[in-house]
Parts: sequence; C-alpha cells; structure tokens
Amino acid sequence: MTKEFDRRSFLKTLTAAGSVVLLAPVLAACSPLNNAASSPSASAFGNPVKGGTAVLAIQDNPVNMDPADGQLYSSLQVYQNIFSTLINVEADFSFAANLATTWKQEDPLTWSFTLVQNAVFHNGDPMTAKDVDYSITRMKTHGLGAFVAFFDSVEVIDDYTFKIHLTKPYGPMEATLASFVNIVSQKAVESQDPKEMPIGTGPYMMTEWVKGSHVTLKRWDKYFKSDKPYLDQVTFQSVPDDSVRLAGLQTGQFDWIQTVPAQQIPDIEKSTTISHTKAGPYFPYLIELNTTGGPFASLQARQAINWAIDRTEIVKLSFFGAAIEAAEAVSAPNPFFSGANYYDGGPDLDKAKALLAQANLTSTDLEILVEQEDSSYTLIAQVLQSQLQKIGLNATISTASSADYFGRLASQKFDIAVTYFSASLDPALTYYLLGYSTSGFNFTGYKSPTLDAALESFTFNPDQDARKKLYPDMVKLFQQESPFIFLANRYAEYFTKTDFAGAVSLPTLEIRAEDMWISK
Amino acid sequence: MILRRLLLTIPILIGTSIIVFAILRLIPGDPAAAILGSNATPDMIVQVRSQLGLDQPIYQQFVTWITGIVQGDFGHDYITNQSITEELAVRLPVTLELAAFAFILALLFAVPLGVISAVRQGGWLDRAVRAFAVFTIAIPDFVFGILGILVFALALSVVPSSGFVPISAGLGDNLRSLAVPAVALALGLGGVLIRVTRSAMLDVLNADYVRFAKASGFGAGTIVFRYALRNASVPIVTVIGLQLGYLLGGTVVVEQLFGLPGVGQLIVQAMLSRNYPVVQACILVFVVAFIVANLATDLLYAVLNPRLRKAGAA
Repeated sequence: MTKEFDRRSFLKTLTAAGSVVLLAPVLAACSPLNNAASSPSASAFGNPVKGGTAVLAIQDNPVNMDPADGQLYSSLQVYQNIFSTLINVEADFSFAANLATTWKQEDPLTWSFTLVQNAVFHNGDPMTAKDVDYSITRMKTHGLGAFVAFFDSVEVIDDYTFKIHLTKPYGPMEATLASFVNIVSQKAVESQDPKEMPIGTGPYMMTEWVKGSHVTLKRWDKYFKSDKPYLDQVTFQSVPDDSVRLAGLQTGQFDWIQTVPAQQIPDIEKSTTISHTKAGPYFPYLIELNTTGGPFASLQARQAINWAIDRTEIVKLSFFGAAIEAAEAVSAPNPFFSGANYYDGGPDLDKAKALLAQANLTSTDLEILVEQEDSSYTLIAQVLQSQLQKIGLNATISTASSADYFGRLASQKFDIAVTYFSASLDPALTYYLLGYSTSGFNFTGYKSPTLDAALESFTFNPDQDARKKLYPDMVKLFQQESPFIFLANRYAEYFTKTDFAGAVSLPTLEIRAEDMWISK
Repeated sequence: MILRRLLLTIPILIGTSIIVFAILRLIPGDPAAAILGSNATPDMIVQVRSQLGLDQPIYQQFVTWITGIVQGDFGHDYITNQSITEELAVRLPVTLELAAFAFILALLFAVPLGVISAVRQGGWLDRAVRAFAVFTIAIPDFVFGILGILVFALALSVVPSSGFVPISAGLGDNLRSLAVPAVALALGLGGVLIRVTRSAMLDVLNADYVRFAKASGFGAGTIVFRYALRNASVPIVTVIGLQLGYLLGGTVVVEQLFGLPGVGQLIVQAMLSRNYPVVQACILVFVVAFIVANLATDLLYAVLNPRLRKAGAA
C-alpha cells in the first residue's frame, strides 16, 4: 500500500467524522510538495518595500483584455491586475473585502453591498454602483456570461450601495464574484475597444502591450488601497517553453515564473537561489466520456473505466508528483473537499472486466482525445492507454489543435477527452457547468433528472453549511454515473527569486501582483 | 527583364494563395470552436461561424479574401479582431531583423571556411571544416537554441534567455536579445553554404585559367580572391537565394522557442487556432519574401557574371 493511499484513507476517516475544516492543515502537511522548504513567508522579508520593477514570465500570450470576454488563462492572469473584483479570496479560502467593503445576504435572492468611496478608474473617472450595474448586466451577454446566468438584476441604491437580485438562491455567489466579476467603466468600454485597451480600477494600468511578447503595467497612483501596490512596474513576459522560462529565472532575467518542467521540481525546491510558493492543488484534470453514443453510452462501461484507473500511477507518471490524486473536483484545503469515492479500494481490474463483459465490451477500440498545447494531456492519455489495455480496451491517442479539440468536444465526436477545468474555487462552478443537463459546457451529453436534482440542491442553496453536507452525496452520484471522471488536481506553484516577496498560490489561480515586492 | 520577372510572380502568388486557402480548409478544426474555447456550444459555434463568414461557400470566401488582398487589406484576426496588416507591420520587422542577422552571420563564417576548406583540400583543416558543416546541417535549429541558452544565458550570463528588445531601447540590448536565436539559425544555413562554397571553389581552382594564373606567377591570394572566388560566386549566390526560404522557415521554430514577437510566432499561434486569415497572410508574406530573394539572386547573376547580361538570361 502506498504512502499516497494511506493519506487518502486517513483523510476519508476525518471526513466521515465531519471534520472538513480540519482537513486544510492536515493535507497541507501531508502534501509531498509542501514537505519541501517553500518560499520564505512574507513576514520573513520584513515590511513590504515600495518601488522597483519585476518581470513575471507566463506561459502563453494574452489575447483579450476584456474581463467579460477574455477566457484564456493567459489573458485572465494579466487583466486581473488591471481590474478589481468586488471581493477577493485569500489563500486560506476566506473571502475578503476589495471594491466592496461590506456585503450581506439579506434573503436567499438578495445580496447587498457597500463600495469603497475612493476607487478611480484609470481614465480618472470615479467608480460607483452604476459601474457595477453596467459590468454585471454587460457580462450576461458576453463570453463569461454563464457565470452570472443566475444574476437577475443590480439595484443601485446610491453611488456606493447596491443590491444584486438573483433568479435563484445561488450558492457559489461569493466564489463567482471573487473569480469572474471585474468592474469596468461604461465610458471606457464604449469609447475604445475593451479587448485592446483595458481601463479598470485595479492596482496597475496598462502602458504597453507588445503582442506575442509582453504586457507592461504601471502602478496606478490613485489605487483605492493607498498602501498598494508595492512595485512601480510589472511586466508579464510570454515565454512558451518551460526550460527557457526556468533559465530566465536562474539568470535573473525574470523575478517570477509559472510552470517549470515537472521532473525538475524536486531539484528546484532544494535550490538556495530559487524560492517557490506553497503549492495549491487547484487544477482539476479529468476525462470526459461521450455518453451520447459509442462505448460510453453504457453505464457499466463508464463504471469499468473508474475501476481500471490507477490515480497513483497517473500522478507519478503524468505529473511527476506535482499533483494530488482526486476523485472529485476539489482537494484539501478547499473547505468543500469530501474525500468521497464510490470506487473505494480501486483500482480493481476484475470488477472492471466484469462490468465490461456486462456491457458487451470485452475487446473494443476507442480513442482518447487530447489537446496538443498541454503536454500533460498527452502524458495522462499515455498512462490511461496502458491502464485501459489491462482490461482489454485498445485506445489510440488522437492529438488535436485547440480548434479541432474544442470543435470535437462541442459536437461530441470523441470517446474519451482529457481536459481540465480551472473554475474550482466552489465545486458547484465545476459540477454544474460540466454536468447539468442543459449546460453549454455539458460535452458528455449526459442528461439525468437525478443528477440535475442533486446539482440544483447543492448549487441553489444559500446556506453554505447545508451545501457542505449535500456535497459528498452529490459527488458520489456523479461518480456512480460517471459522465466525467476526475483524475488528479495539479498543483499551482510559482517560482521566484529569493528576494522576491509576496507571491502566493491562490485558489482562483490569479497572479495578484499588488501583494508582490522586492526585499532590499 | 525585371518587369518580366515581376509579372511571372503574379501567377505564382495566385497559385500559392489557392493552395494555402484550400489546404487550410482541409485541415480538421473549426476556428469558431477555437475562439469560443470551452464555451463552444453548438449554437454559439453556428453563430460565430456566421459572423466570420465561414458559412458561405468556399469559393465565395476565397473571392472575398483575394479581393481584400488586392486592395491591401489582409482582413481581421479572428481571435483578436485586430487588423492583420497592423499585426504584420509590428511583427515583420522582428522577423526580418532576425533573418538578416542570421544571414550576415552565416555569410561571415561560411564563405571563408568554405574557401579555406577548398584551398586546403584533403588536409586536416579541410576535414575539420567538412565535419563542422555536416554537424551544423544535421542538428536542428532548436537544439542549437537550447544549447545557446544553457551556455550563453545560463552559464555565461552574456545574453538574455528569451524575449526581444527593440532597437529603440538600444542597439546593444537589441543585438544581445537576438544573438543566440540568430546564431541558432545561422549555423544550419552556414553549414550548407560552407559545402557549396567549397564545392564551387574546387571546380574553379581546377579550371585551366587558374592553372594558367598559377603558372604565370600570380600569388595565391590574388588567385583565390580575385579570380576563383568571383567565378565561384554564381552557384553560391544561387544557394543563398534558395536557402532564404529555409531561413524564414527556421524563424517559425526559433521565434517560438525564444518568445520573439515575429511573424514566425504568429503563424504557429494562428495555425493552432485555425485563424485562417492570419495564416494565409503570413504565408503570403513568406512567399513574397522568397520570390523577392530569388529575383534579387537572379539580378545578382548579371552583376557577378557580365556574360549573362549579354545573353539576357537573367
């Protein structure tokens, strides 16, 4: 029995005892990456120092700076420093004031907010409740509209107080506000292309965007938090190659980088010249099964896959240990983490083969679809391929460009698709969008009144304690029906120079530059 | 003569446009799905396809595109909605500077080495140069790029590991940012040039007039540089013209590796997202650059060999 399994069993026991909140420190201590010496805490650097410039090396090129439309992670991680959300989420999953100083749920369908009175857009206009109304109303008809689909209207009381009325008692309200709702200026949006010229109230204003190279942000002197940001200038440099990014950090060209070759993480963590943030398992990787036809229209076939999957092997061989096994959308320290597993004791190849026999699929050819831009997809597919071989399923790996990949997902031309979902602060964001019968993200085509009812109970429930109690049963229902199967949660971990302070791995995956500084 | 050559480029451009346009549409993948990403519901895909004009017949799409090109309008980027002409105006100088830098470096080391190799035929210097040439041809650009980063950025810290510094920020920093990518590109090109130079020089050095020059008491330097090299230059220039295509192809890989914001990087990103108009525009730019380079090569023949002027063969 592996060390990993022992830990999971231990956690399940704790979960059964209803000690969900206790899981955070326990898991943090057990996580293999967290055992290594991490970045010195902010306090170890003393008080933050203002001034200086920093270069942050990101993986891909931002393409769209409109927070209502820009969906690529490379765009989000830049524009989240230009715009502000109403509330923030911290590394410990607590929600903190940002543009909203106070907020309260008045009744299941109404939330009231009070805004800061000194927030100013980068064009000099003051930010008021009207801007919040405009931002949310506008977002509903744009690319990220799915996240505010249950927002009915914004009622402006005065310049600094407003209410959000919901169509349903939306449980992940705070998670949604902290993750996706950025406040824009109507005047700025209507006067110039918001995809190219972002005007927000955030800590930094954009001064230069060289497509394919870098985005330079300058400190916004009228930022509503007078003590922040610390750095005068932040440059987001796009460096696609993992090794080149790491070389840039080692030579001092970059102050902060994301994603290094996973095989090198243990060595890097021992380095005295590079620091790293505390790793958070915030990237759920999963496979989607096409339930509309082909082998996985059969429930037994989907359950057989569950019994055949060896997550320990996937974490070891596909992620080189830089992930944690996961049978659900979130892992500790997320307060919703349940540890529920319908296939407890797996992998069990005999059970898998028996189920395949029931489904008349003893020897079947199938295809694993992966997107070529993410190398971890291919590694996962290769490990899955060998695991499925053991139960008589001959899988070929089909590597597709993003255009082909998303096209095939949407048109359900796949058997198994490897993917990840980054909206996992609140698991409802993941499960509802991927699994609800009529959701636009439901690529598996699975429609079940039972699952829909469980999703509705969990998602449209204003009582967070009640939601946490409902969550494990909903997870088990999804595991039982298996339209999609979670494999592992990859760690979000960042690497920095040793004098670079304030970098944190946040559950929203945002790169919060306002907290970063260079220690003298 | 030049006019005739220029007129001949028109059918080449039209043919290339048709081929590129057709091939792109044969590749599986939908730009609408790439634009929408994980939000790609079937209804939204239909809507975006309609907005992009992708629901029109292929021939109509081609006519619309080619009409725009004739008017100097490459269309708009599907992903960013930016004018492609503007995108190219920003990115083309980066690629041209990189290619020019690599080209000059290749010439600076390849031609002298090729001459030395021919003059010292059979000696250890010849064998060493030939081995070096084969080595540089056999190893791909990106391997030289990664080795360059490890040695010059990581170990010696004399150049940045990636990124581009424009000339406006200082010529020194600009050249430093392009040094390793340019060397990575130049090595492969240089290997070919060394072999061609050596071969052409050997042909000339064995010619009767060179033997006559030796017998007449001319010095080795005069024979090699005044007579032999000039006469050997026609095949060298021919290969240089053809290798410019290789050089532009190499920028695609090298720009991606070093994060240089040039046309090569743009074409990779556009290809992955099936950003048809951008891919088409980039390939057209490369084709035009290749045709211009070959036209310049043909014209150089006439300068280098006066006999060709009279024959009108250029």
